[in-house]
Amino acid sequence: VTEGGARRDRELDPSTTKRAPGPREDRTEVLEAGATQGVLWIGAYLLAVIAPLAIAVLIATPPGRGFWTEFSAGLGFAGLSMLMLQFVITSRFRRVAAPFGIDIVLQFHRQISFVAAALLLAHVLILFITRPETIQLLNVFEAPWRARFAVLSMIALVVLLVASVWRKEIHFRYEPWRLTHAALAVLVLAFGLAHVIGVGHYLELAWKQGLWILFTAAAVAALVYIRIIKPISLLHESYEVEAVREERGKAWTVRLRPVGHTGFRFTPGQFGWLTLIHSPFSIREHPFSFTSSAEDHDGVEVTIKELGDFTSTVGRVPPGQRAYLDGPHGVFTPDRHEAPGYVFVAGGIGITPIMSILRTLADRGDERPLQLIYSVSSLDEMTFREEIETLGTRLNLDLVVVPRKPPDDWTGPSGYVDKALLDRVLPEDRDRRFFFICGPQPLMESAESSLLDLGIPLGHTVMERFNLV
Amino acid sequence: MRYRRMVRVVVGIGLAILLVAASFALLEAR
Repeated sequence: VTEGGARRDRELDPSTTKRAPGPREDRTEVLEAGATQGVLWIGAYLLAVIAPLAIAVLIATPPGRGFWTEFSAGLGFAGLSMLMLQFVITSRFRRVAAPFGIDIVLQFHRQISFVAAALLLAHVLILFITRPETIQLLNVFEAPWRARFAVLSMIALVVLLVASVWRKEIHFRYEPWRLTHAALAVLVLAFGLAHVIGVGHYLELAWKQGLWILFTAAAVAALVYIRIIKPISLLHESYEVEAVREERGKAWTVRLRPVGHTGFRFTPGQFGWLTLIHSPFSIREHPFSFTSSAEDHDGVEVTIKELGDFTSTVGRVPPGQRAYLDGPHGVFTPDRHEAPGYVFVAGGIGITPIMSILRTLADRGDERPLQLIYSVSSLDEMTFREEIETLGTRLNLDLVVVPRKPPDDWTGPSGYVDKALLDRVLPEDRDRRFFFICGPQPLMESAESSLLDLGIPLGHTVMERFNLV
Repeated sequence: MRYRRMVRVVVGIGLAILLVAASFALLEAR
């Protein structure tokens, strides 16, 4: 498996880890390879958390200080290691993301941060409870620097967590939030390191201090890579906006053409991080699915829905505008999930990756049976409506449009995509097909559990979600 | 489902770390 060889490393997806009666006999191996990769990465994560703790505690050990103090120190070390690993997790290394999907990796980043924060909180509380005299260290005016650093680190961590968990509620815009998030993360880590070295119990020896400084530097280097080095390397491979066209449902398709290079190949359903800078059209590194055919090698298209934020200005982006595209990313692609047929469930603008899949399959002359269940607010708002109807003549496609507000003479299904609707419209060979679901969170959750209830194997369902903060 | 599986992994990692930290502390405290 080669890095970036997304077209070839289809054996890496754990969403297919369940043994399924697939069409190909090599599927068992494929599934097990995916599961093994996933388990290996989880093991590596645990090891990376525990190893620094083990080195601090087990080698050249200072005299013990009683169970609770030692336990508290252990939790502190583990919490700090986890915070360092947070930098690595979000570095979008394709090899790490491949078995899980980058969305799950980012969700993991979010969830595991609560565990790290809980460990660090426990670290402090255990000390306060078992050695009440340590509470005095909270008095930052008189406390020694090692304690001040601890307080500063914890404050930065709390602010970081609050700003991330309630970003929308406190109306913190995404762009400044991202900058703040990175800056606070570096502060939490730097103050944490200063605290650990200041306390010095386990890090009295110079080489142990050096090791922790090295760990911290590696974490920050990961951040520097993704925020500075990667963007600079993208500068050499820029794109320009070739055309912008309006789509149904307040969406705009932006066609990008590589400038002075050949661009990259992607598999249908993948996405890239788009940056459109200068002028008021400031989009910095937002994930967008490619909507064009993967067989179209002259350029790449993304379709962006106006959502009232930075996306509202997309329609006014002029041709010739410089753009940067980091990709391809993602495992939401039938090229990784070989099956005798597919069912796509799209909700609203969630049609974008599926549109790329349909266009690509049409260009490839694919004859497998396909079904598209497309939930839209109304037929007027149905993005790509005309083209999807045309694609029906080039593909073996069964189109099921589900408008929430159907016209008066509508005879097809309407309302929400629920279990009853799916049971009614899904094809006979449903248990052999693979399902790709993309749309708003409620639709994805409802579709996923409905399919499971209808006896579709879990490994046959593929989803990616981006609603992170 | 993938999401729930991921949450289980997160909980598992948290418990494993607690266990390791407690064992180290026991070892140290002796």
